[in-house]
Amino acid sequence: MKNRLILYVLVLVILFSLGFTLPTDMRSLSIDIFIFAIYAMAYDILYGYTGQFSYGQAVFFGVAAYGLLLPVLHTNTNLWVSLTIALVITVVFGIVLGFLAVRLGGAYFVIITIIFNLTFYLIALDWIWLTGGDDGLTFRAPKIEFGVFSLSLYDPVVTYYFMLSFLLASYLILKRLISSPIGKVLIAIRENEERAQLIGYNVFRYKLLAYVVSALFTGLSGALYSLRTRYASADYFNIALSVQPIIWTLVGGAGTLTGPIVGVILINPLIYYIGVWWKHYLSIIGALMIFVVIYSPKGIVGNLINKIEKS
Amino acid sequence: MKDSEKSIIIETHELTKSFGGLVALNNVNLRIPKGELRAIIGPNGAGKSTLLNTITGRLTPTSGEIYFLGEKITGLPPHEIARRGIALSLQIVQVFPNLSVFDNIWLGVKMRFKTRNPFIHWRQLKVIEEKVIEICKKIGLENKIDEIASNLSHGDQRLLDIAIALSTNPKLLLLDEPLAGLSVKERRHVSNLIKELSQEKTIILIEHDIDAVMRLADRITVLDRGRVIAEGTPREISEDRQVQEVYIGSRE
Amino acid sequence: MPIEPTIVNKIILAILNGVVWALIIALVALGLTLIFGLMDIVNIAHGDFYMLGAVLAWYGVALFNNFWLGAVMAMIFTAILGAVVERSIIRPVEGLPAFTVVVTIGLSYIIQQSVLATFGGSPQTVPEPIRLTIEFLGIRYPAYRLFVAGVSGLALIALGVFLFKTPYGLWIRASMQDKEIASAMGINVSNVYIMTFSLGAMLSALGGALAAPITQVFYLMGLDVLAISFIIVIIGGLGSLKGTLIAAFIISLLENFITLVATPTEARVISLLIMGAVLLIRPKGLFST
Repeated sequence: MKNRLILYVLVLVILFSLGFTLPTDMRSLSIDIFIFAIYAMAYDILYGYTGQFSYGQAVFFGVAAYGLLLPVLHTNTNLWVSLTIALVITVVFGIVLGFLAVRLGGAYFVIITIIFNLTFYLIALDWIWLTGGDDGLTFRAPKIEFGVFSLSLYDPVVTYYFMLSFLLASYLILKRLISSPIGKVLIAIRENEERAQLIGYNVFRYKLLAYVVSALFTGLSGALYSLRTRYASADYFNIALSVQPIIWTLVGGAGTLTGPIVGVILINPLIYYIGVWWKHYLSIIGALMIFVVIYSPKGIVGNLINKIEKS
Repeated sequence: MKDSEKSIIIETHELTKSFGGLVALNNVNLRIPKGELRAIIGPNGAGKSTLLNTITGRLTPTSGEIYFLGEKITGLPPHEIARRGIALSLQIVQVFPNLSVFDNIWLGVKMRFKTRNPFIHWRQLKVIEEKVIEICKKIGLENKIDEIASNLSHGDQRLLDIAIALSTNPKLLLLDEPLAGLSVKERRHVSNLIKELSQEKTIILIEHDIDAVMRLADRITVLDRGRVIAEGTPREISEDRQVQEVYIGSRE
Repeated sequence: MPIEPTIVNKIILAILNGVVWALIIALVALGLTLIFGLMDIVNIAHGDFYMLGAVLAWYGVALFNNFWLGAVMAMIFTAILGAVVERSIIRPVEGLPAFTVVVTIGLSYIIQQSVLATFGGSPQTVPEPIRLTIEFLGIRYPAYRLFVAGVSGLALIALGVFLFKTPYGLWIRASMQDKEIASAMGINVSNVYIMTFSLGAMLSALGGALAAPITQVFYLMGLDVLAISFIIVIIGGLGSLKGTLIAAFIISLLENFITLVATPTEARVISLLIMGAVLLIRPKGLFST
C-alpha cells in the first residue's frame, strides 16, 4: 500500500518534470501517448472489464473529433463549450448504437460494431460538405480560458500539461468506476453473464452503461486529438483506428486499466519508428497480433504485472 | 385474497412448455406454502429442470401462469424475478470463475442494498462485507474466502454456488441436484446445510438421491414426462404404486 | 446504353445490376456465414479473400492475357491459403471468438500489405473478358454481367448440391448442428473445419474474380464487401444459409434501386437503418428459427 503510494508520487513527479525537459519530438510523442492512453483505458472498460469485444470504437473517436471541430469552425465557440458539445454528441451516438449492438453480445456485437465503423467511414469520406472527406478540415485551436487569463494550445508545453491533466482526470474517474459496485458488476458480467442475471442484475443495462462510458472517453480522446492536430478528416473514422486499442489491450493486458496504457507507450513509438523506415509496417502489426494472441493471450505486460503483484 | 392463499409462496397454473413437438411440461399445477421443503423427483427427461428454468424466467412458458406471493411473474425477465426473491442454484455449477469466494458472494449481497452514491468505493460498504463473512461461515467456506473460485474443489464450488443463491436473501430457493457429483462426506455436509436452510426458507429441491429426498422433504411432487403423477408426503409417495412403476420402469 | 434512358430503362437496369450483385455478394456472404455457423469465427479477412480473387484475376490478364486463368488461379490459391490459415493460426485460438477476430484482423493486414507491396496502391481496372452487349427490353446490357450472374448462380447451385447431396456436405451440416455428436458419429471434425474454411475462402475469391471487370481492383476493396456481407448476414440471421441468400437479394436490389435517386453512400445508410430495424424487431435475423 505504502509502496504503491510512492510509485504514484514518483510517476507524477516524472510526468510533471518531463513537460519542460523533453526535446520537442519526444514531447510531441508523449502528448500523443497521453491522448491515446485515454482511448486505451476506454477500451479496457468495454473489453477488459465487461468482456464486450468491439471492433468499431473509431466511430466515437471520429464523431467527437468533428463534434469539437465543427462548432469551433462554424460558430467560433470557445474551448469548453465545443468540448462539451463533442462529448454530448458522442454520448448520444453511444446510446443509440449501443442499444442496437449490446443486446445480442458475442459475435453479433463484433459484427455490428464493424458495420457501424465501416459505414461511418464511408459517410465521412462521402459527405465532403460536412467533413471535408479525405482531405479533412483544419481549424484554429481556441484558447484555453480560465476566467480572466488564458493559455494557448500553440505552445507545446501548454499542450503537454493540458493533455496530461485530462489523462490523469480520466484515470481517476475510471479507476473509481471500476472500484465501485458498478465496476464489480461489470467484471461479474464478463465472468459469467448468466449468473449475474440470475442474482438479479439487469445485464443489458450494465453492458450498455459500459458501452456508453467507453464511447464517452473514446470521444474525449478523439476531441483532444483533433484539438492537438487542429484538424480532422475521414481518416479519424478509419477502421485501423479501431484496431489500435485492441493491440494496446492485447500487449498491455486486458482488465488492468494501466496495462493498456503501457501498451500505448510500447506500441505507438514502435509504430512511429518502424513506420519511418518501412511503409508496410502494418504487416508487422498484423503478425504481432497473431503472435500475441496465440502465445501470450493474457498480454505481454499483463503477465509481467501479475507476476510482480503476486511477489 | 383468502387467508389460506396468503401463505402460498409459489403457484403454477396449468404450466406448459413445449420445445417444437416435445412437451417438457404438461399442465403442471403446483402450490407450495411458505416454509415448505418441496422435493421434485422423476426420471430423466421428466421436466424437472425445465420447471425450474421456467419459474426463474430463463424459459418462457408456452402457456399457463406462475404466481409468486400472489403476483403474476410469468414472462418477466430473469433478473426481475431474481429481484423479487427467487434464487436458483443450477445443476451445472455456475460461479464467477476468476473472482474470489468473497467477490462471488459480495455480488449477491450487494443486490439487497441500494447505494445512494453509485461511485462509492466498494470497500466503504462495510455492511455488505459483514454479510458476506456471515454467509461464508454459515455455508462453511470461511477458510477459503480469498480463494479464486475456479481453484476450488467441485464440492466447494457447489457450496459457493448455493452461497451465491443465498446471498441475495431469497424467499424461495431452488436447488437443482445439489448433491450430484459430490463425495460421501460432501453430500452429508450439503444435505445438512439444506436441512438447516429449510428452517428459514422455502425450498424446491430437485434430487436424484431418493434417500436424501425422503429424509429432507416435507412433501414430494413426482413428475413423469412433463406431468405431475403424484404428490404427497415422503411416506405417501414411497407407497404410491404409480410412482413405483415409473421408477422401476425407468431403472430397467 | 440509350442516350436518354427512360425511367423504365433505369428500373430495368437497377434490377439487372441488383441481381448480378446479389449473386456475387451471396457467394461471399455464404462463405462468411458457413464459416461462422460451423466454427463461430467472425472472419475479418474474408473481404481480403475477395480482394485477392480480383487481384489475381487482374494478374491473369496482365501476365497471361487470360482472365479465366486468373480466376481459376485465384480460386486454387485462396483455397490453399484458407486451408493453411485455418490449420496454422485459427486452430490455436479455436473456441475463443474474440481471439479469432484478432487473428483474422492480423491476417487481413498481412494480406493487404502484401498486395500493396506487389500490386501497388492505385486502383486498376480489368477489361471485360466478354465484350458483347445485348440489347433487350429497350436497353443494352453487357453480356459479361449476365455471364457473371450465370456463373454465380451455377456456383450457388453447386454449393447447394455439395452441402445437401454429398457426404461432405452432410458432415459440414452435421458438425454445424452439434460438434460432439458429429465427432461421436465418426466425422473427422478437424478436416471438416479445414475444408469449410478453404471452401469459404474460395467462394469469396470467386466472387472477387468475377467482380473484377465490373468494379475497380484495389487493395482495400475487401472492406466495402465485408461491410455489406456483414449487413446481409445480420439481416438474414448469423449462420443461416437460406437467410443469407434471401438477404443478399433484398439488400442488393434495394441499394441498386435507391441509387436511382440517391448516392451509393445514402443507399448504404438505408441498409444500415434496415439492419437496425431488424435488430430491434427480430434480433437474431429475419430467418432465424
